Amino acid sequence: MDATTPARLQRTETIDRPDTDDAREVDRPWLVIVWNDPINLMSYVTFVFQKLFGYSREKATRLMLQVHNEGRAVVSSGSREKAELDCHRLHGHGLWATISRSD
Amino acid sequence: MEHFFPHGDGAVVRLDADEAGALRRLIADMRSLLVNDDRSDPALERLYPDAYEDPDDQRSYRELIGTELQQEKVRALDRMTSTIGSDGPVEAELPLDQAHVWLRALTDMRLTLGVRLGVTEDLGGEDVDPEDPEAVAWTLLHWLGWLQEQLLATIDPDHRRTYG
Repeated sequence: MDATTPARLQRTETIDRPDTDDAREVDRPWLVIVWNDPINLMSYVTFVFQKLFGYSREKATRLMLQVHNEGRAVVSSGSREKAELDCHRLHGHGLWATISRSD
Repeated sequence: MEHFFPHGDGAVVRLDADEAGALRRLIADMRSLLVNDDRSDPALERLYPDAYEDPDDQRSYRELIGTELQQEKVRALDRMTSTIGSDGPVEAELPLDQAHVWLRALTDMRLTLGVRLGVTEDLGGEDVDPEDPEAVAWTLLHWLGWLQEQLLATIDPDHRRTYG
């Protein structure tokens, strides 16, 4: 985990969110989306994807180009907690990230 | 002129007195923006983007995050200041973690300048019209980008091969 991760984000339980037994809910991961912005350098965006997610240079570059060319890319997915942590770290690095539910 | 040189895992940074002064002013401006925390400022909207479209989800996310993001960004500026000092030219070591802190702080400065300048399309060439009343801000935006590109290339030779 990134050394700068705030302690409060390292929680393992969801606060004020009802449990669900619905299997379909479990199958619908939360997606972290990075949006294109006109300021951040392409090289920096690639660097951030590698640093935060441990992606290879190739994968990080492919995602960066997808953001650049298509306007957005899903850069990580998983539980809500993971998505919120990833989104927070991306914001900490100045990337424009949002969270949405997979369809 | 190159400002960053490979050193161990990280870099050595060299700035003349004018460059260091410009960076100190940018750090001070950035720090007051963050500390004043006027959420009607569009720059802060960009620095703290909404994570969720749904207002309830966003509210609970904001409560969870609290002031962590703000504190991280202020801390990054303060760590930058600890390296460049308060006066004169700079020649200092940037261990890798400190280099990463610089990259983040430089990003926040560029995002803020970009919002102030109303940049909405990908930046093109670096020619700045000297008659433009915002010529200084444009020059700073490009200069910070150049610093960032140099620092990335210095700490990661792959970047130099890909983007150099």
